[in-house]
Amino acid sequence: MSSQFIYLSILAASLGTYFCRAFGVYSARNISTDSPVFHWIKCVSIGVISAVIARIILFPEGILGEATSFSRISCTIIALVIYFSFKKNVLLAVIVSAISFALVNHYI
Amino acid sequence: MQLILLNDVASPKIPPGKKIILAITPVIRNQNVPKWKQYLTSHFIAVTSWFNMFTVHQNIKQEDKFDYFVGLGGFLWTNSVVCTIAGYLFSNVVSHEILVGMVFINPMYFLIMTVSNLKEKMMICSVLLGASLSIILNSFIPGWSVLVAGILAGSIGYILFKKEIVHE
Repeated sequence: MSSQFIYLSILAASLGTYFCRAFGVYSARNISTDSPVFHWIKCVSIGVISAVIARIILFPEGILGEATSFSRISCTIIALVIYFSFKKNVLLAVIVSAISFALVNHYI
Repeated sequence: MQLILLNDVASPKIPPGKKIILAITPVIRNQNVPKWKQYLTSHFIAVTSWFNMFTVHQNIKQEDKFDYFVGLGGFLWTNSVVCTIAGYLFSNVVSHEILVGMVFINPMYFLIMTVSNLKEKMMICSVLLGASLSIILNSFIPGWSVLVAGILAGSIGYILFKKEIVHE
């Protein structure tokens, strides 16, 4: 793959995301935070995000794909348990689960 | 770094953030802000800034929300650029075990932030269905499972619990 192709790909991807973002702002001009459409968009947005998370944890690509399903699922459970056990501490839950994940993959 | 990590572990067809932009723009809208600033600020909209804004926006006056978001999103965006450069420069120094742990931070952060924002039944339903449908649809339409699962889950969650919406 030539470097010229990479730069062109980055440019094309940038234009794509910038256009989408601008169109998002334009489309939102008449949407009120109290309207049914706004609530539907909120639901779809969080639905998409949860779908992304499930996919990353269960069907990952790249480095995470090298780890076992057991390590990914068990450390996800650890993150949730820590979060609810320690007054919903986001930082603690994320750090403990990441350290657990590194340890599980190193020793098991 | 978050974007690079997310691209590394997730599907190549993760949908663009237009829905997130549609979800956050009405919240931070300010009639006194010129349109070009609104279009420029759309580049600061990402999952992290969206989650954080939704967590705190009810405690902020409407006229201050746009400025608050520019500060929040601008900091996160700048931070991501600096961390991407740092990640590129120091990637050889970090051992593989630590790298694996760092890659896992991204989905865990998204997961915990998602859970922390679940207050309404329609959102809880959308999240549970989104995750379940994504897993099921991955066998049939792997490239589009995330987008289709999200739209289906959000629509079902909204339809089932729209009567429980508390109007502000």
